[in-house]
Amino acid sequence: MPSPHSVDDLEIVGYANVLSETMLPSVVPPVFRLKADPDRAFLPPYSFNAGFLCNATEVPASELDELRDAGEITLFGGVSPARREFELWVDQSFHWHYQSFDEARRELGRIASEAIKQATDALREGDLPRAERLAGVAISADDRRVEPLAIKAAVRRSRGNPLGERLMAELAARVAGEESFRILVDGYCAALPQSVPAAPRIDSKRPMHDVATIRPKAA
Amino acid sequence: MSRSRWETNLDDLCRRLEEYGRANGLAVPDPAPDAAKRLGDSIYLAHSTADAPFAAICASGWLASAERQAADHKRPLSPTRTEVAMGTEDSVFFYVAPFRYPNTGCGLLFAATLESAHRDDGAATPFDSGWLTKLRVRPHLAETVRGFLARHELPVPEHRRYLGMSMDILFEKPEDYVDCTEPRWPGPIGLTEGDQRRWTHEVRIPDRVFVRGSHLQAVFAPSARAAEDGPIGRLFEWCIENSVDHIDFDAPREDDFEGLRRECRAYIRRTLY
Repeated sequence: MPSPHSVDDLEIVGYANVLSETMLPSVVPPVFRLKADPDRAFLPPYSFNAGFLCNATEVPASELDELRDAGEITLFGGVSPARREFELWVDQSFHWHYQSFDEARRELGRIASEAIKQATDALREGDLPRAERLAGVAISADDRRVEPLAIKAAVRRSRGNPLGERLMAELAARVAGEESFRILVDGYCAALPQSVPAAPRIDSKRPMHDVATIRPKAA
Repeated sequence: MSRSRWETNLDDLCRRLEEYGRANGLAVPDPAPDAAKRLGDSIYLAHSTADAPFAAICASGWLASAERQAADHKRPLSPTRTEVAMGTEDSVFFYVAPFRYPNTGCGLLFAATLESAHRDDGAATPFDSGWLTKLRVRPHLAETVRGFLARHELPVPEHRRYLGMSMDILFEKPEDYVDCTEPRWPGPIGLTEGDQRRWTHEVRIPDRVFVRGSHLQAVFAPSARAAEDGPIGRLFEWCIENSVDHIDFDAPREDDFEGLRRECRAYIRRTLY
């Protein structure tokens, strides 16, 4: 079992993910190294307990460049001291922010709300690519919001993409009931300059509905 | 290396495991009990990556070896890469286990049938081959790392015979292998240093593997990635259309990998136990 390290003894050199522009903003797991021994770096999976980094995967710092080149991590040019109860996130311009949990959540929530508002405006103007992109920003900032999924579903319905609409309904199932999500999507569709007809209602209680998707248990 | 050599390695390894079990007073049933055999035979092949590379995989439709990726991007492979050091740069890698490769947030599970389709060119090892290069102490100092690897290369899908046996003999219970709980006994291979990489089976398939094929078992990605109007979202749509399992998940604070790992273990429990 690897020994825990106090967060106060660590600094951040990057994060353990590689993201593209459409995936931002995003909260990311930091890559740490020891202040007193910079050759010792720590990667996820790990956990935090009472200000200590626990069960991290330790690698020599020399291996970090190899991991970056293999497309597994992103390294910053410099370092930043690690802080307890802080969160690392990357904004839409690839700038990273290291803030307290509350600050980060507030800021990401603000980005999500603003993006939802702008996406709704874009939808009303019929600018579907912009509505889709801004809804994506909102989901990346806060994946517990149902509105951006409904906006995306409305965009997909208007483009005649029932699979895409169904995917959004599946993704929304964690945060909204099927009926309330459908009503929300219908509302966004009604806001489009050329209103899109409501999708035919699928009664999920039909006896054979989704039976084809049930896969046999492996022997 | 030839398949017959891999078969000889497998017979030798199974014999060593039986001897190891007897020498340590462990029960050595032959064949392995049903639970271990069933799990060993059916456990999926897992491949996971960071988010942006996963989008690239979804866009291309292929899992590609490091060598092919370098060729596609017209850039040389770094000689310091682990795969180059091990001579495995032409392979696509899978764990025969839930997603275990760190620093990853998205993944694909393939059915064991993928191995049967690569009987002649796929190979397995009862450990993570790349991890051998990280060892400070090798089991046999006089042997090169590549030599050690060659001696433990096993045929696919027959390596699952050793997997089932080791699940039964070395682990408290077969499910411990899936849950990433350390085995009670290190086993006959002689690797004692390090983490689960020393006992997680790896399968290598040369060059590239088609994603949207009949062997694809399930796709995993954080909800925000699945919602994208891009390659990952389109793979999820394809899964809906083709009745392939697709799992989106909330990423726990800061740690997509934990979400991926948790969802994958739950999926395996639902479908294989």
